[in-house]
Amino acid sequence: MPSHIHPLYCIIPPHMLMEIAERGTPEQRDRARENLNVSNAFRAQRMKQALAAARAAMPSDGKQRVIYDAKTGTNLPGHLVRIEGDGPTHDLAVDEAYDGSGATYDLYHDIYGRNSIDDEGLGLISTVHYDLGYDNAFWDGSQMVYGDGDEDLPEPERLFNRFTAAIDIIGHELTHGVTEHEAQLVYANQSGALNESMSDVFGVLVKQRALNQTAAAADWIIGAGLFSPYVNGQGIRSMKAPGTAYDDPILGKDPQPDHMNDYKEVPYDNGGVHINSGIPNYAFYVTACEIGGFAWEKAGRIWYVTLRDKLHPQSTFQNAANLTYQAAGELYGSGSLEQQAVVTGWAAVGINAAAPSVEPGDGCAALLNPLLNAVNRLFRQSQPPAQ
Amino acid sequence: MNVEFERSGGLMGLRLHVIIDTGTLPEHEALALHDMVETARFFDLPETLDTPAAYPDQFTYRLTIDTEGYTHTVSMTDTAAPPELQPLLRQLTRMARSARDT
Ligand SMILES: [Zn+2]
Ligand SMILES: [Zn+2]
Repeated sequence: MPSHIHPLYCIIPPHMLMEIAERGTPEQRDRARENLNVSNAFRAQRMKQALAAARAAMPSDGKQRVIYDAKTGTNLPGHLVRIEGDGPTHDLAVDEAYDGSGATYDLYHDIYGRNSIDDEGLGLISTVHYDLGYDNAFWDGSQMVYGDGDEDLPEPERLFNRFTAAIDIIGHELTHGVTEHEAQLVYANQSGALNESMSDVFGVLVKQRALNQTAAAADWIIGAGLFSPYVNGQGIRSMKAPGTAYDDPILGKDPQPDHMNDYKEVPYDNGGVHINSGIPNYAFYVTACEIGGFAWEKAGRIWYVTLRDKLHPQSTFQNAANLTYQAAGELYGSGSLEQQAVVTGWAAVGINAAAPSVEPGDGCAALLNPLLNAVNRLFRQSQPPAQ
Repeated sequence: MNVEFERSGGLMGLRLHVIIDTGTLPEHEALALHDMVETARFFDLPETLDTPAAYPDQFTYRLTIDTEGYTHTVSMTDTAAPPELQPLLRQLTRMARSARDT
């Protein structure tokens, strides 16, 4: 995996910074000088970070969490503030990122036997307080990044709180890392919506497990607590009732469909990956409720095995239905209640999971993927640890 | 100066879009926008600013500015947007929110 890029250093050529330092407004000059000077301070900081990173990258059968503070800047990873074993910092975002990535590690480890993002104990790296007025969180290919919401705006204009406030969002971002190491679902159109849905599924399972909730008792809301009191909404998505999470004068109405008939082809959001994920999300929800009990135990396992061993980068919703059906058969028996629940789940969104696979290459991919995954794993083991 | 702004993607997948004719804004707001465009050296930016990989949940921006006979469009992912452009993107996000058209 390529090491990540520090946007500031790579995007703004130093000559441009020098020019700003000479000719900009006083504010710009300060900013540019600061950026130029950062290189020195950065070297010391980087040594400290290299130590933490080396520790985090060491294969181990345990959590290795590292939390950085971007201090409202956009340099990644930022200043090291908490590593595995350190006590609480009393900075809410830092402690939430630490606890949330721990709960995510535990779900994957204790329930599915997975040792971190890469199954080889890779450190879980988070940066909080990213940028000013950053109402978002993302996975940058090697770490999680969280903004503080609308902290820069006057109170009544604020729509978002800090993005670490919802534990399922932390599970969502980390799962993007798992997907990148396993099925590598291409982040556009149906495979992209599946990528998004996998993140919502395991994110919500992290939350349900932390709360010890059954499928029937859980609210299935993604991002509860992210909205300020000025927003009319429960969260950013509902897996139980896609399309109903919010309805607000400023944010508009939740656009998620819950059925193939309402699949939305849109020219933005990589073909609506955060919109059409409502379809596989609802299929998972129905499957989990049909099976009953704790969703992470059986429905989660079926989805996990499918993500790890069966899906491929171009998989469609139909492929995902067929492959979860196959996984349920292998795990719980052909014709088992669990396999029937998978059929019911996908039928609820208009997809026949038991139908013979329509994609000609699919049978091959199903055979080939575990082999490719094993080869990838061997290849990764022969590489020096990623930074 | 005419500004067309679109922000899409992000964890929420919310699309924001707004078209602004600065001639219709209160003078101080129009001046502030002009300043931000100059500070960002918008017309010197390449048409595409991309991070090497498509990072999940990032925002994507598309910004077109039309002034004194020049038109320029820049499409970018948010981690690729230079720091000098961030205040303008933030201000336009704020304006798009209060003038939500889609
Ligand atoms: Zn770095
Ligand atoms: Zn995502």
